[in-house]
Amino acid sequence: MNIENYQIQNLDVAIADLNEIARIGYWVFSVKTNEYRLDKVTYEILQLPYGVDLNKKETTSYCMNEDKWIFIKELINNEVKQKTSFNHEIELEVQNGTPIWVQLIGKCNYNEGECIKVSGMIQDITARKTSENQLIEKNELLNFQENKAGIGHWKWNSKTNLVTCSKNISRIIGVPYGSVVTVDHLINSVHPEDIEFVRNHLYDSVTSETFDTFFHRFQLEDGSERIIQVLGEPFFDEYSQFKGFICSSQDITTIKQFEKELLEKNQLFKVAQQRAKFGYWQWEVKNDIVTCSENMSRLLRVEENTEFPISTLIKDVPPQDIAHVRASLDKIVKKKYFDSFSHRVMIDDEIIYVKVQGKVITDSEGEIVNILGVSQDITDQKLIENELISNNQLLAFAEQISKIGHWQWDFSTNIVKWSTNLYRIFEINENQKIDFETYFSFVHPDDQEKVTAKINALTENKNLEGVVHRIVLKNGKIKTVELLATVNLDRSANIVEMLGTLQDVSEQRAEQMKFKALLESAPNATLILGKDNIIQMINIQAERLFGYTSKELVGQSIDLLIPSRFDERRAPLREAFFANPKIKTYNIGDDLYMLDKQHIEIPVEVTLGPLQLEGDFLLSVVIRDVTAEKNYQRKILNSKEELEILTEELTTQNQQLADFTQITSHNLRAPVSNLNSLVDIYKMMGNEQERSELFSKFETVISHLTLTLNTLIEALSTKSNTSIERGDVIFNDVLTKTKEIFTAEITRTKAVIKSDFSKASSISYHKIYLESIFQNLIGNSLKYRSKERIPQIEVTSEMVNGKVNLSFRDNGLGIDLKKHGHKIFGLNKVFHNHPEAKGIGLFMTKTQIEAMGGTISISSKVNEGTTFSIQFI
Amino acid sequence: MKNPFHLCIVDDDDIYRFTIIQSAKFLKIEHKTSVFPNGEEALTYITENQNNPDALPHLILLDIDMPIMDGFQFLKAYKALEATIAKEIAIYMVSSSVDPEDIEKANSYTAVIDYLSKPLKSDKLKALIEKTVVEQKH
Repeated sequence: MNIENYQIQNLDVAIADLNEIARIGYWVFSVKTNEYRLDKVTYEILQLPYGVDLNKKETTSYCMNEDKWIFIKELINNEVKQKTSFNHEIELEVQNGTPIWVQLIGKCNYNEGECIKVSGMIQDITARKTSENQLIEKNELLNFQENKAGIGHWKWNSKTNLVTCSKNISRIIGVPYGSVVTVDHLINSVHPEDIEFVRNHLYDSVTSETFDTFFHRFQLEDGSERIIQVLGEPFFDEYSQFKGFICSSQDITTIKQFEKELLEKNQLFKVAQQRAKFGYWQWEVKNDIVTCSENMSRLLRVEENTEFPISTLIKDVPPQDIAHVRASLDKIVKKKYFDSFSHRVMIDDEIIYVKVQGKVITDSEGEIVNILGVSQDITDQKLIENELISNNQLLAFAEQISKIGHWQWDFSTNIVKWSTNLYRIFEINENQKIDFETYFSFVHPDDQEKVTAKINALTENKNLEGVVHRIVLKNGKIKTVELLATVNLDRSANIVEMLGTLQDVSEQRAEQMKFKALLESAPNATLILGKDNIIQMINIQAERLFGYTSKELVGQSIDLLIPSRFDERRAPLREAFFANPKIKTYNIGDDLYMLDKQHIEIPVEVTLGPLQLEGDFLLSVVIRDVTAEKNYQRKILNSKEELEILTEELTTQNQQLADFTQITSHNLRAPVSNLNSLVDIYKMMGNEQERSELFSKFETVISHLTLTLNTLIEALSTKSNTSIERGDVIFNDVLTKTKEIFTAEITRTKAVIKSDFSKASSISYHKIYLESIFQNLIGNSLKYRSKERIPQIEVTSEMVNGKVNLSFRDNGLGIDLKKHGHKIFGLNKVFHNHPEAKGIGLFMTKTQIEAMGGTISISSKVNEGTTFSIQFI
Repeated sequence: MKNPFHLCIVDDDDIYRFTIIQSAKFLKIEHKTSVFPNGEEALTYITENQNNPDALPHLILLDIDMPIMDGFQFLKAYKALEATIAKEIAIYMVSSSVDPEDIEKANSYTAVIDYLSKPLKSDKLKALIEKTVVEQKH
């Protein structure tokens, strides 16, 4: 025990000062006696009365927290058992309830391997612990803030080239907080393209011992990029020796992106600013400095790139808006969030509507760095909005103007609701209670059945129904209304409610009635067509013309009335009409016909007219029955044809008459007048000799006259003989006979007569006529032969268009057709000073050919020859 | 008389020619007669004698209907020649035609004094000759 006391006393003395300063106490626990011995300082620390026996039961009362005391006892017991030392910081609560922190250190004292006592020290570490805890708290807070603001700090010792990181940075670069890393490790996750730049920048900073702010990109694990701003300050030791940098890295991606966007779009932005009429400004709230874009300066009429207070920015805001603008700005500053707002500005007495949008830029401490704003001229938009508003007001009136009301009939509650305008239409007070009967009581007695039927139909078909009916108002006034109704169904298709609209169509009806009356009074059949050529209305004349009733036609397509053969011709006309709708007569070609109910075609003339009725584009089709005209026309056409035939006949007869006139004047009158003259001369002559000479003259004239008369009789009989006997006549036989007749002549003139009837050897003809034709033509060729050459005559048959042609060609004198062409086939025409020319042959030939329906023509050249061509029927 | 009245007949009808020649003889007027059976022969004669007034006729009785060259064809040719002829010739158309078309056509020629219808009576012939003599003396 002495030793122990000595030791304590020595200790007391030795560390008396320390005891005071460091507040360290000394304690001993005797295993053997299970007793604690504490020094004075220990008692002070524990704020226990000096000399209190800790092992006594009452001791616990001095230590408020029982568990800690147990903990301490266990520590010491463990010490004894396990022979280890301990060092613990323990929070205790002293008698007055104040918490204290103590550091408890203990170790065993051994005697022959047995722990006989445990001794140690106790130090009051409350002050340190408090500040430590405060630091931790602060650190937590800082970390939290770092996290939130995306800021990390790091300290770079240039000598060791190692970096100490804040929690946030450690977390980001994936090292335990508090460990040191190399610079390369730190910048490992910097964007690959930026690593070189960052490294260089850092080493340059070391060289220059200054740190310029820089930016780099940082790649997150998910691959997204962040933009990091790095700020740094050099630090020095007490000898002003450069030691390294204290830096902060901040994620400014959002800010940077905004700036970047602005930068990228700067050019576009400038143009857009002007076009979209907006300006961009930046407000440093702290110093109240505003800078703005070119466009904004123009709007504000301030010099470009100058700084001005916020009051300048809002100087054009009219007084009534200024409070609102100020409040909006204040709110932005306060909330650090940009709520867009609108206001007006007055520039040159013109009101411009401006919408302001923006962003609040804050620093790591959450302080506002500046506010970016975009002021946009939305005057046009505003005008449109205003227009919309007024349009809405218009719409509100629309119901009233269009005289439409709507209603709802809830089947479950049987409540009927009417719109205000519906009351107005029925001219009843809006407060009046309404049920279905109310409506029905207004329905015109004659229409009630119709309306009931429609409602029933609706209940059954559950589809949209419409009916036009009359209502009788309280004051006796009758209105025509159009009721449209539909139903809402529940899941089992039961009617939940009936709802619809009701339109007062009285005026339209009146208009329609007027129009109908007008239509009825129209003199012609008229159809009114709606869309797709559907007949909407017809008048009584149309009913009469087509034999349909109005009911049968309305709703049908007009195609019903037009034969399908006109479809093709109608299509382009229809298109042309709709392209330029104006009244016009439908000219489909020669004749347009329409069909009546019996499918009888009626010739018509159709006039189309565009019609604007009840806002629809309609087509009026006026149809004029031109049957009578057609009949007249047909009659006229028939008469014309008859007349033409008659004229032809008359012309023929005239020709014959003319021929006859010619014949009478030249061939009959001439000999007769000669006879007269001869008679006169005869009277004057006294001499018998002379008279007998004169007589031969009489004989000549009379024989000539006889021949002429005979020829005429023959010709007239040929012409009047309409049923001439026909028979197959072989050309070669006729030619042979002709040659026989002219045998003497042919022999004398040595004429050569050739023939080719291979193409047509015979013809159905009057044999005597054909023989006469051959004799006349061949006779002429022989008679008018050229004395300079041997007569050559060719007779050839041909088939032209299935008809027999016959030609007689000679090499005789020929005829000057220019001079004589017009009278070549006349009677008694002679063209040669030939003694045998009598002028009868060709006249008779022509007569004989024409009587059988053929024609004869001539071609000739003087002194070369003549060809007669005959076309038989 | 050195230059007796010269009557010219252009007609293919020999009976007619005979009647005129006979009628003229009965007139007791000194004259000479020339005849041509068609217009071509008459025209040939006139053309040949266009510068010889003594050989040219005073009066031509022209038929319409003749072979080779009819009266109208003659008139057409004569019209082209008229200005070069050294003598005034009175031309009458004498035809059996009563066709108004022929009459109108004949009168359309300025050279034709009148259109006369056959038969031409001797007193009418006398009047023509006398009228021609009177008019051509001036």
